[in-house]
Amino acid sequence: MATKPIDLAKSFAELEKLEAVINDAGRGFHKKVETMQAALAILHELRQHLQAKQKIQVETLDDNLQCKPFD
Amino acid sequence: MQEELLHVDEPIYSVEEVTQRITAAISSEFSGLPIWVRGEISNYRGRNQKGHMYFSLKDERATLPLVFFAGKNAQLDFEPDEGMAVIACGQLNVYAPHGRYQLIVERLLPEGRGKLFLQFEKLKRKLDEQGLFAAATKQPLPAFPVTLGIVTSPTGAVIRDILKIVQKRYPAVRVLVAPAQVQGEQAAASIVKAIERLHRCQQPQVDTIILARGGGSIEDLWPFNEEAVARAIFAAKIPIISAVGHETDFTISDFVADVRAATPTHAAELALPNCEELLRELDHTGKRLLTAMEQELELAKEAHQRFASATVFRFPEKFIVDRQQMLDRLCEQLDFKIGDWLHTRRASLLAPAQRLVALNPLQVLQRGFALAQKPSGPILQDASKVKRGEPIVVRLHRGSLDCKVEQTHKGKPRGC
Repeated sequence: MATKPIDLAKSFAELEKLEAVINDAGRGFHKKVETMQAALAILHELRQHLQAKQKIQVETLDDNLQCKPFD
Repeated sequence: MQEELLHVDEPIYSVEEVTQRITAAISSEFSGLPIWVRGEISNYRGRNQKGHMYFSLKDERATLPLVFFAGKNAQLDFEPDEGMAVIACGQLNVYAPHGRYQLIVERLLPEGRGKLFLQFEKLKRKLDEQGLFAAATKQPLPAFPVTLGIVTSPTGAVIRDILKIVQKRYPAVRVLVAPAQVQGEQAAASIVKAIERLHRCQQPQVDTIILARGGGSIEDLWPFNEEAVARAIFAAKIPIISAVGHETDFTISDFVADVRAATPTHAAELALPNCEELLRELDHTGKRLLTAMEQELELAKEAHQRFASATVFRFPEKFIVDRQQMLDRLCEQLDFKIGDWLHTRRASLLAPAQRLVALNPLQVLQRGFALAQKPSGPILQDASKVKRGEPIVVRLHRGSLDCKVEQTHKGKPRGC
């Protein structure tokens, strides 16, 4: 099953930022609840992406820069 | 004669001193660095009981004693033999008890392989001096590559091994294999072309390249020691992982590449994240976030309880009554203060007001006096200031008179 491609680096970085907000003593409770919701959404998306069982896409790049299935 | 010699003004060395000076001279001559010596093995007796080897190298005109200690010769992958042409690498030293110089061998290679090794060392030194191995030029590997390029033989076991690791660790990655010859005379050019091809490919763009080959002899791995391959790796804009041969094999490609992997499968592990580890990391992150939010919730609960137990929320009417009483008291105080202030101010103004009344000239009119003024306003004090027939106004206690001067009588000021 192919999953929607996501930018893992960006998602992990975003998650890190949100965690910093949740741990920031200067932030209010409501802001933290909102942030937690956003973090849970990213966590869910990342989990779905990483748990998806898929077969790797392997191709051969020929001299004309054409990609053909690798066998 | 012997006594005469002793009186010559020259130093007399001990045997040890002579040996030390010879040792220093040899060390100075070769700058203390290892040297390479070519020759035929002579007087070979194999390893002694402790595993050390003592033999010589000779050519037509000279012989050089060699010592090859067990710690070093354990890695030999061929069996030396009497008369075999070899190249030895080591450091010259002097064995003082026997007064002889000898080569302490660090590496011994059969002649053919030795030549390749010397070429390898020469190119390595040259490229190192040109900065091709500098750490500052190394590119970091992307943490989450989308497309992985692999330069290797498409038919060998290496590609299969790499793909197995890719499937296991991170199947979301797209793999582009750029087939290349990895052995033989055409291999270097083929490897260079494959690297360039992966760079030219725009759809998809390659994020990381693995340059891989399985184990083999130095001759088999030689294409990865070619300068053209080294230059292509150095010029690459995409980070390259070199994975050539076994863990103990080192090629020039390994030194130039951004990362060296011990084996091709290790290269796949370095290139890609591990899904299972990432999932574990996500679990940890999720738990940390939940713990943090639970703590926040506890703090919010405590704050709520604090507010709920406050008087204002428990007895709001009492709170209002208390405030009402306080307000009344303050109003009373304010009224008193204002009255007091007004009384004081009024008393302080009374005396000046009475003085002002007493000084008012109009008060004099009550007693029957009158004020004569010109119509334009100035009060007349001197009869000489008006002329006969000029109109004047005479102001009385009640009302005023418009008059005309009949006659003026000049006189002195009264009361002076």
